[in-house]
Amino acid sequence: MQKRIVIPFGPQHPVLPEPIHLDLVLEDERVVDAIPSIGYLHRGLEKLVDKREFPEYVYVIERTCGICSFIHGLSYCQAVEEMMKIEVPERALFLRTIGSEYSRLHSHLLTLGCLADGMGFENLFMGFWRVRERVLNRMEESLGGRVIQGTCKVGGVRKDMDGEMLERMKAELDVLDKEMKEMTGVLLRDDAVKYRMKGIGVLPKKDAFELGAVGPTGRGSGVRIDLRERGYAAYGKIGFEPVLETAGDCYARTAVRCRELLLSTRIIRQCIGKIPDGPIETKVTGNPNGEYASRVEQPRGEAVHYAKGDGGRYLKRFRIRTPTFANIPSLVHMLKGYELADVPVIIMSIDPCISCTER
Amino acid sequence: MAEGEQPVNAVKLKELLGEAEAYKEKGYRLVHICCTKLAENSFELTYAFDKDYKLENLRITAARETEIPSVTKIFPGAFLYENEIMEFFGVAIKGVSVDFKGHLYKKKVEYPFAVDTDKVDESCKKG
Amino acid sequence: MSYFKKSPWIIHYDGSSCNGCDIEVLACLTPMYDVERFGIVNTGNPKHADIFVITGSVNEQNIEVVKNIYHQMPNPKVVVAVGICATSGGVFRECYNVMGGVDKVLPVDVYVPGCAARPEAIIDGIVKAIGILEKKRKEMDEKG
Repeated sequence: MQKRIVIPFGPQHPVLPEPIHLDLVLEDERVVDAIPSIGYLHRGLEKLVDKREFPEYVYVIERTCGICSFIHGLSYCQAVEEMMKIEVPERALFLRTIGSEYSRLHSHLLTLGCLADGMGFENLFMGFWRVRERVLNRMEESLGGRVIQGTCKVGGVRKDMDGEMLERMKAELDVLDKEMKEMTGVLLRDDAVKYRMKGIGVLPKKDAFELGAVGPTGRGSGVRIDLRERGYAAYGKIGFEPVLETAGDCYARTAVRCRELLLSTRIIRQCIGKIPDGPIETKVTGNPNGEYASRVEQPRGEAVHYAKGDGGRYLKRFRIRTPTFANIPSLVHMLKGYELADVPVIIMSIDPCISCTER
Repeated sequence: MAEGEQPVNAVKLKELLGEAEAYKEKGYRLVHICCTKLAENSFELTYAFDKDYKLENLRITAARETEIPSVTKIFPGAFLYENEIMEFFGVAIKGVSVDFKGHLYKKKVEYPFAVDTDKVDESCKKG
Repeated sequence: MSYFKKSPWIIHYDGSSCNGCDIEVLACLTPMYDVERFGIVNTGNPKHADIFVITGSVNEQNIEVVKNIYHQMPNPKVVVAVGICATSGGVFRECYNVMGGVDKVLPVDVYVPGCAARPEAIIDGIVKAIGILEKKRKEMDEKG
């Protein structure tokens, strides 16, 4: 038997924007096992429900993560609204959908850029982030913030978008499409990129399903899990088909994200076309009582927000199961059998969001 | 609205593994395991399963001393949820495939979700 | 700020932030804001760094990591706390696992406000830090 060595990976590592720690067990250059340890970002924000009243808590929830912030807020509001049986105005639902898709655009562009950077393809990283700034400007204008918005509230949304703004957004989507196609084309057609990602970190469909992979990690292996199909917010009124790839390697997961960029702009266009007039919020009376698990599709996959109330101003329990948390078992599985040099690319290919995971 | 019913089946502790196995055979996936503190030394564990975007729950209630069997043999991805519950609530789960033995998170407070908030604050101040 | 001898390199560590300030720090490096025009480079190696940018508050687990990175940096060095969490703990101040601002463990030279801190504010903070770095360098030279 070959001699085994353990190499610590992280928490501070050039490829990682956030701290995660893995103990990699190696035989020569080959990974035979990986033991994740998380907790560097653990804050314990679920416990804050004891100190914040439920309408106020949405601000804490948005700060679970600065990348998926909008969708976290949406999901929390959805859980509380469902418990309190609040009927949210349709216009608010459409605005929430537009906001979600813009966050998905910004998150995917971010992660594709970081992936390129992880491979040393630095000018592509810059390219993706330049396009991303366009999305962020639009988000700041319409939702009120670049990364933390505070738009969603229990019973609706806080800010409306007027017709002129929607027109402007629509006009810019074409420019975005063009620029994104160019960037993703460079990424997906580059030989060096293909060499580093094709056949690396393969996760077969069966394993992906058993290990509970969600989002692009699952869809890259052909598992059809896209919570948007469930039709929360305004997705029920929008026609779309989830993006699936079958190869299950790093390249497939990346391809899913690239194609989802264009799917997002399609959804935003439909929303702008179909958005009805009307109020953007309803009055909220009473307190939440009961329990509900609200599920939404975040850029990284399915997130579950479980809330339980007892009729008081404070929730009894709130729990977030974030997509990366569900994808870590798959990540560990993917790493086995590949070389040490592939580890950063495999980690980036699941698009880890650690501050979500550790809350 | 967003989702219809989310049925909850309360089961006995010894039926848990059998029921989970049945879900697995029907083609469900494990969505998450959530623990809630009901009262002093009484915890409720909810196992959520999903198939075709329909959520179903299994629920058991247990005291801290109760040994809960692990579902990692059936759903290998469950080890993180179970470790988290052990660390946050101090509930004993037996036979987890990867047991971090309390080192998944590093916290100032032992079992933070099993104690009241003001007590947590107190112990934080001392540190 | 008119002229400085060395291109200041920064190292970025994410304490227990929500990522918001993190990605804004990264955004500073990209074409829209482009701090590289000041010669500022983001490095992964603390031994090459002059400015330590921390986002997010300090918690139980990362105290040692933060201290370790700080002690590996050569003198003179400047610490910049980016965002309200790094300043005081911010919205997470009352969480059980959050100790508070970075100044509980390290001497902080510049505080950048905001939740999330805007790239403009971060650049402003880093430029301020460069001034302090120059001053510290001078003091070191005088001491010999």
